[in-house]
Amino acid sequence: MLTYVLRRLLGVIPVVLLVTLIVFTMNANIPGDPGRIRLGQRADPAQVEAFNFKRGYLDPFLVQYVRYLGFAPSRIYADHATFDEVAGEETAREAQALLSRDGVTLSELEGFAEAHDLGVTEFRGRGLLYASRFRGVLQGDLGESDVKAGKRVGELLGTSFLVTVRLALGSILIAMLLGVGAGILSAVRSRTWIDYSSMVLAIIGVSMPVFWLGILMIMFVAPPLGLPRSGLDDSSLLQTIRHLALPCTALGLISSATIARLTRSAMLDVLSQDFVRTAKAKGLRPRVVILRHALRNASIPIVTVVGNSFGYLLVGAVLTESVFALNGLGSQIVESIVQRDKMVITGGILIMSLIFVSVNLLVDLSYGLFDPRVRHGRG
Amino acid sequence: MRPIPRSLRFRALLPLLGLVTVLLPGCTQGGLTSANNPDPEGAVRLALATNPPDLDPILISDTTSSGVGSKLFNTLLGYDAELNLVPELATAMPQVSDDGRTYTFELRAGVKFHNGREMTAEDFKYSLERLASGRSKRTNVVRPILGAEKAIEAGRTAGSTAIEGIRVLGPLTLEIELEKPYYPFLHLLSMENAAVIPREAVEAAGDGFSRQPVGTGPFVLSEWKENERLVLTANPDYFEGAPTIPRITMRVIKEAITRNEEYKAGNIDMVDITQGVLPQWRASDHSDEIRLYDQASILYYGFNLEKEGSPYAGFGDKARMLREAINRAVDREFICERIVDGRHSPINGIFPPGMPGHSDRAAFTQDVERAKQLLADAGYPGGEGLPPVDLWFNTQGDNGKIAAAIQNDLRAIGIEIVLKGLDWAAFIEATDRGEPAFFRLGWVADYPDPENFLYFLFHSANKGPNGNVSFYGNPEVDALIDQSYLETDAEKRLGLLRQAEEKILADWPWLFLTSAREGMLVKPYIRNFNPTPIDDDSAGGSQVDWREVRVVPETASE
Repeated sequence: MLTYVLRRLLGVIPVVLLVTLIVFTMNANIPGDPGRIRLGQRADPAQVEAFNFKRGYLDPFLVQYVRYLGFAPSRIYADHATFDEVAGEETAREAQALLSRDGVTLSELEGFAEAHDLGVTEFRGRGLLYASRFRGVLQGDLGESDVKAGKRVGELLGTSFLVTVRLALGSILIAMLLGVGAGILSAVRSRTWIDYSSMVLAIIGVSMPVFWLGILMIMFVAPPLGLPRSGLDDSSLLQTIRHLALPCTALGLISSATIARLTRSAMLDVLSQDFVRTAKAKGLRPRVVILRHALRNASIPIVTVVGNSFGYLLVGAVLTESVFALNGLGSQIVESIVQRDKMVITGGILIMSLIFVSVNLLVDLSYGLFDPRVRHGRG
Repeated sequence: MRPIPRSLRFRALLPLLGLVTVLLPGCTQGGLTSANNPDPEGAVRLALATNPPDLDPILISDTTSSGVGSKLFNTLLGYDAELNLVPELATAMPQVSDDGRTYTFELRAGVKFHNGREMTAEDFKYSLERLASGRSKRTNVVRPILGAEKAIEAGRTAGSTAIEGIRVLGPLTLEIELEKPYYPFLHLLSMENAAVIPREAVEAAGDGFSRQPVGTGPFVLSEWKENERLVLTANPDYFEGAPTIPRITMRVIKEAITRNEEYKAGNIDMVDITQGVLPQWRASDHSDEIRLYDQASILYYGFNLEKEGSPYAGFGDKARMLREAINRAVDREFICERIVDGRHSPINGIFPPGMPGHSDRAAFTQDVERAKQLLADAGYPGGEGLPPVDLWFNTQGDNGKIAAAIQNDLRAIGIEIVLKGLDWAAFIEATDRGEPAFFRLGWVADYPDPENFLYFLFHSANKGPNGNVSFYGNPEVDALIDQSYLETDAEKRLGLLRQAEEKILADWPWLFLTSAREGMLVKPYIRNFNPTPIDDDSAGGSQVDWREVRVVPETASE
């Protein structure tokens, strides 16, 4: 079991490398120059070039990628905020003074750099001082936003990830309760009005755009129940639940439809098998037959679809987040794509891929819990 | 088929029960929502359609950031309700040297930053010089200053560098020398970008200053959850006295429908009116809360006066008569009332209502007989012999409908136009190149000065991408505009610019259409909220005096 988990965890590394490489390649090729985005449409071209140079965007693609991962030091220039941190406040002030002086020569800068353990380079005929340090994905740093000055990518994504996790957990809970419940009921009472009506509802659920359902809930469900219409107030557990009730229900209802349909067919399969008949013949109560014997045997496909839905809820709740004004991971990434905030895009997709890999791993591991016939780690 | 276990009937309802219990806390806690329930502590609650990208003055370049920033920062000069320049952190309007190049500002004493330190002239020097740095998005604000070009050049690689023309003459005396006389510079100084900020706060926070800005303004940024909400708390030490309201909260709600619902529920106190929903608001219980106010913008259809082969080009009498005929043929009232639900009004010239320089002459109206007469006088009776002309426009919002209405009006006098809709990027590229002979465009004032319209749209130095896409060139108009830069007397200056406007109108270079109004809904208990024509509908505007805004619950006002 342990070796299985370890092997799976090792398998995450190439996946993540591949994902970041793909995103990096795409980012490098989509239109949108980081300097121009940061400095505005009418920015002075020389200023844009200087920005891109300092951020390393003028370096070859592979250099940027290796640096992003944290295998190569990144350069921080004397007028950059974090320079102080790396070079020390006093050195930073001296460096700044030296650079601002008229007619400072490259050799002067070289002398200063050597004395203070700094690097020196030339850009457009002017010497530039830089400090350097390793900070990349390996060191747990996803870099700095290109668009939002002074905002770390990790911080941006971390906050919205927390929102999304709560939203997804609430939704999957509702989806499971409703979906599995309705699925069992339909299977047990197959071809009755209960079955037909719950399956019609499920089809409506599958086809209903979550965006629309959300708007309807804001308009017609929130007022009579006195629930907040949008936003998130997490000052207390109660407030969090109140604020997430509608979005979780909207998302949950939609996912429950798929789960219900799958549960129904899996249950129908199992219910027609011999051991169910035997169990009934033994005189077991119907509840025990259905919940303990049948449901357990039907659980593998159900767990799979619940796990997948959870993964999608974590990354794909953009529309729900937008209607209910929640700052979730999905909308954060969509915003960064619209704004061409490349560092946030890359970091966001990296986190999404990690989420998918981990949810898959958890789902695979949970099979053993539901069905003892599944064993990991052999063969 | 199979027998139905009785015990399952109710157990299957359990998930539903679970759902209800999730929802229940809401029933007990929520209480009644009334549409008019101001914040109990008297705070004002706004919704933002976007998260402000940056609140560092040198990075502010969008209306949301500028709306938020205006509450946190102060500039040397500001505007009064009529949009005249007035001193803000300066004690009076600056002394101007005889050659019109040097301005001397005396600063107010005892103005405190949010961090408690008193503001001095050195702070202004520092803040303005930062605008030349490589990180600045707004180098254009300081560009007219003597030595700014050199500082901007140096700023690309080093940090902010000294600008020769900015001099501190005393603790509260600041002198700014320009490269050449340029009166609109005073407007640049009143933009949020030119706000004063404390050096130590910038140096402590680095790039992070944009997330935790410190200014001298009436409000302090006390909380900013990115993409979620901002809280601005009243500054008790504000130099003009603390604001009346304790707080402004701004929630980021990207979806217009959600903003509207929150407004109806009384959870936010103001909401923007998005395109097309005005009739619905008019028919609702909230119709009394609709506020439309003039926006310093104009909509026009321009003629390319240098387009070869176009009968509408040039300054000959025939072409001029043709252009006037088109101006007389169009029913602007119909466009304003029927197509855009009263969110536009017909214009009477180049300077929109509410702007300094706006004249009191009557608005352009439809006169079909006169239009036909002009057409005949120009040599095309009933439009005979006049080739159809393409009308280029960008296909956003109501542009297509407006174009169709105009097409209809012109057809009535015998002029055929062919509608040619493009997306914005392609459209603006074509107009910059001067490709279309007839095209739709608009202009929103950067600052409330008629010069902003005349110089960019009609000065021959700006033909093409800079703004003069009608390729209008009139030496007399150029001379009047140029002369206005040297004139330091505000009245005389305005007189020159008005003369220039008259001269331009006589040439009919455009089909003059309408000017827009911004639309908002404002709860009745919000008082003294008076947007000006240069206020955007986001973040409570940038010129509104928020120190005066009050929350007066209905019952208390009686």
